[in-house]
Amino acid sequence: MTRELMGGLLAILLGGGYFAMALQIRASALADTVGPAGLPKVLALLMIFLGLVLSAQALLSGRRKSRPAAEPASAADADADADPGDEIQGGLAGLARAGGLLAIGIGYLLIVRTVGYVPAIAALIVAATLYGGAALSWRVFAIGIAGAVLYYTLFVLMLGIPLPAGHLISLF
Amino acid sequence: MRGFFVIAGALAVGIAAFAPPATAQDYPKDTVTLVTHSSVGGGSDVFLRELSKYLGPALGANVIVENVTGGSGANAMARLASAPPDGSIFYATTPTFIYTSLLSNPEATYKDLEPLVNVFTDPEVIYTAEGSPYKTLQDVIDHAKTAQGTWGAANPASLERQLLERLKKAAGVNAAVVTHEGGGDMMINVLNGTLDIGVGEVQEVKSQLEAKQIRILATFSAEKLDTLPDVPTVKSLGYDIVARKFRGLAGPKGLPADVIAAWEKAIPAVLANPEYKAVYTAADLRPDFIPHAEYGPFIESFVAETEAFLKETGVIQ
Amino acid sequence: MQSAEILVTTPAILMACIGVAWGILGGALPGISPSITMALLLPFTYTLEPTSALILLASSYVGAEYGGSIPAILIRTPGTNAAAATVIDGYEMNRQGKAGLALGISLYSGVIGSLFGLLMLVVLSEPLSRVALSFRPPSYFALGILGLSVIVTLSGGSLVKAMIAGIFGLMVATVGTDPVTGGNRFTFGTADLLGGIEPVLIMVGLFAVSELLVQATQKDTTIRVESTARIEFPGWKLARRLLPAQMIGNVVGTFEGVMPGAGGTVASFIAYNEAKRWSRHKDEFGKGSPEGIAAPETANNTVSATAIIPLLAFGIPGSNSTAVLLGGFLIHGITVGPMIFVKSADVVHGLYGGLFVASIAQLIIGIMMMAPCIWLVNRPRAYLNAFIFALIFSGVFSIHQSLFDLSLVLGAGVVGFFMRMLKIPFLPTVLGLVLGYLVESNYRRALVISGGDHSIFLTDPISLGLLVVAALFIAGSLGRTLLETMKSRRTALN
Repeated sequence: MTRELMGGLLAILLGGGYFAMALQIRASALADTVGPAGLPKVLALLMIFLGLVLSAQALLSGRRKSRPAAEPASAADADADADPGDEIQGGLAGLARAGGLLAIGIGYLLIVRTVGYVPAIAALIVAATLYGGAALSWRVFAIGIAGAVLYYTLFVLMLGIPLPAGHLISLF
Repeated sequence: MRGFFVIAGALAVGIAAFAPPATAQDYPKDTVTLVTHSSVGGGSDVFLRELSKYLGPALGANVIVENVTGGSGANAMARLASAPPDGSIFYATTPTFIYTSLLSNPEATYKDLEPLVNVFTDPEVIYTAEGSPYKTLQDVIDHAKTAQGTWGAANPASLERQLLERLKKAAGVNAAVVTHEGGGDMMINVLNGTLDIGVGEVQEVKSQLEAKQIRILATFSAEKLDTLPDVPTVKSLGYDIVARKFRGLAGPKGLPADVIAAWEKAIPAVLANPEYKAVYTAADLRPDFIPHAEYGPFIESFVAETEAFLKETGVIQ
Repeated sequence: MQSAEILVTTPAILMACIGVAWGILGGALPGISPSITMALLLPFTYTLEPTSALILLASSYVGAEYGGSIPAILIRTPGTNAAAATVIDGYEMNRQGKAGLALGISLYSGVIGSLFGLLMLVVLSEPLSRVALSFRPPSYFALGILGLSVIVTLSGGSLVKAMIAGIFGLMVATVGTDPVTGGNRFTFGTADLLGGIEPVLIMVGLFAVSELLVQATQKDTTIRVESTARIEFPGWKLARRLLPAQMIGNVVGTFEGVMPGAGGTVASFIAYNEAKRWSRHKDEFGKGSPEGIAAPETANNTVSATAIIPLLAFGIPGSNSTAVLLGGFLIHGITVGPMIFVKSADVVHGLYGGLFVASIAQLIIGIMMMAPCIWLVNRPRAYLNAFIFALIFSGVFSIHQSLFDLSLVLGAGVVGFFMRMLKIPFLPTVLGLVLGYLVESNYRRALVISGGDHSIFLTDPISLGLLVVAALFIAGSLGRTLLETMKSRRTALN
């Protein structure tokens, strides 16, 4: 399955799901002629339509694959975000590596309320640094802790943002 | 002081009153947060900010105003309903929260809150741009009989909207009631002539009134206003519509007795403060203290009245 | 004259410098928006006299609008919503080892924007406030449509994909409270979603988190270009080339600033697009074009001054940031509105003077802050990325003190990752998200006013003008894309 086909199918799926949710928007007697569900329904249908177009394009160009230059090359209009697809390396293994980083982030979300901001963010920095390929040494830990203290100073002491203090502190 | 910074940061717009540090007793807390659904500069916001200046010393706490906008108060109610009932956070009630509860069926409604006390009632007025052809309310209604009238209300579901709908019915005209994202937004559309009239509180339109950019045509209060003796009441013009826009406070359900007592003492004290009295009189606010025991039933009766109107006009079932 | 006196008699210069430095810091931290940056200063303004207080607040606004571009260029994280347009070419230049130059362009464009905006504020407040008054709901709708029409040129490869991305953004914008009925849409019963999704959450997720995820897929063998360790200002030749882009930024910023509800983010994107349309080097956009930094950065700094116009003229804050400024006036008992020029003229003049100092301070402080920033991003990649991750998680939390927001950012990062994999551009998504509410609420409001008659969009002159421009623009872009496609097909066949 090509990238295009996958994108098209995802768009159809998204449009369909969104449409189903739009149908459940409660009608209000104060509504105007368009209504709260008016725009969402239009958006959903457009999304499904565009998804179909993209899928059709993908299938057609797939059939023309024998011809080398079937893909229209309007690279003149290319945009920073259009090229880096190839940056995602390593196939499934690459995906798994990205998933690992995501897991570190989720881990932070799970522990921060309990252990508090400083230990959690230090753990996040250490884990992400090691995950990013830094050699395991005391430096990683020292920098992680220093970074946590730095961010604490910046956000909590200077800016007064109430980052979670955690429950551990109350045990002492 | 930390808690203070914290909240100011969180809301993007927090203004505290200078206040002595909290005393040793259990209540009040160091910081009391008053939540409003109005954006900075809106009616409730101005009211709260003024009040907080004088309330701080009377209550012995830092009083902070937090703007939780959006959803015509639905967001603010949700925030209150999930807060602890320890007297550290209150919601500045206006009829809006009843309307939103009845009309939009949000996650948290007035039923999830406990009315504390009432502080003021304030008059709603009908205004038009200085350059508009309408000299009286009758001119506006006559226009709406022959052409498409456009009347502005600040929020989708609000007392202002109900007043306009009732006026439409009483006058037998069909004008479009245009809703906005707040009073400032609507003011622009009145000034540029998109709207024939707007409805708002006197204090909201004061700066435009002073600059002679708008004219006040009528007031929805029961009697004429002291500061605007030339403005007729809507009732005297033959349309039997009177509004009592209350301004009070409500907290999360289950407020402890000492919290209620502290506020029942602080509010009358603040209202009697001569300095504050000068301020709110100039702003056309009428002191209307209702103690906790009576405020609950008052709100209940307002709900019943509003609900009846909405059902009668077929807005809700 | 009066301004000059006030500058001498009050610590205005000091206030302007503190304000700018604070603003740059706040703006540079992702999640700390200009309005939060300013609100954090509010408590300190009680003890100041009114002019100093307002200078402090307004200067921090100037600084914050600039500060947002620093992480946008260096770590692909827009520090503010308005810096999202700068990410595109800024980060690209950084990847080519030209971070110093990118930062220099953004700084000096920002200063030009601040100065030009101030000039407009002082000289043209009156006529510009009339522009704001003449914008009615249909005009706002048309403005939003013009903004969305940018999507057809942001498409990169496939127009269909760009539109899918744009509609996805519009879908995200419908989450929250309905603008007409006050009912809930797509909130899944969560109070966290009632107020809608903050654009900055999606932007940080799409740009920054997706970048971290993409980098995680790579083995750390990619050759990294060390960025020049110091700030670099463009030479004469480049400066001349940037001038048209900056003029576009100035004009766009002036009008967007004046109109309540539009603001810096919309201004940046429109300026970026116009600069691209009128540039002689269109092809470079998206690949590290210096104009692609100059235009949006000039625009959002211009907004930081012109946004004050409707506040002073009507007492109506057009954005969160000016709402905080209004708070600053209220604290000191100054009624903002048409009478302010009569009643508190000295404060207004003092504010003008302070803003002038702030523009200069922006340049000096900007240069001083640059070297440490560049040093920071030249650290080993494993450390750098870990610190960016932690910075995002700390900064985003400060918006609502909500872990839910953090999970939204992570989610947006995953979505961005897959969009990159499928080669779907995400700028249209950001644009749809930023403009969706403006377009929908004003469309429906206009129809209520007209009694359901769509001709209101054609009888309102501003709306008509903007819609015609949008239509011409879309037709032109589509025509050009079609031509290019045909041409390339033909050459391919030959």
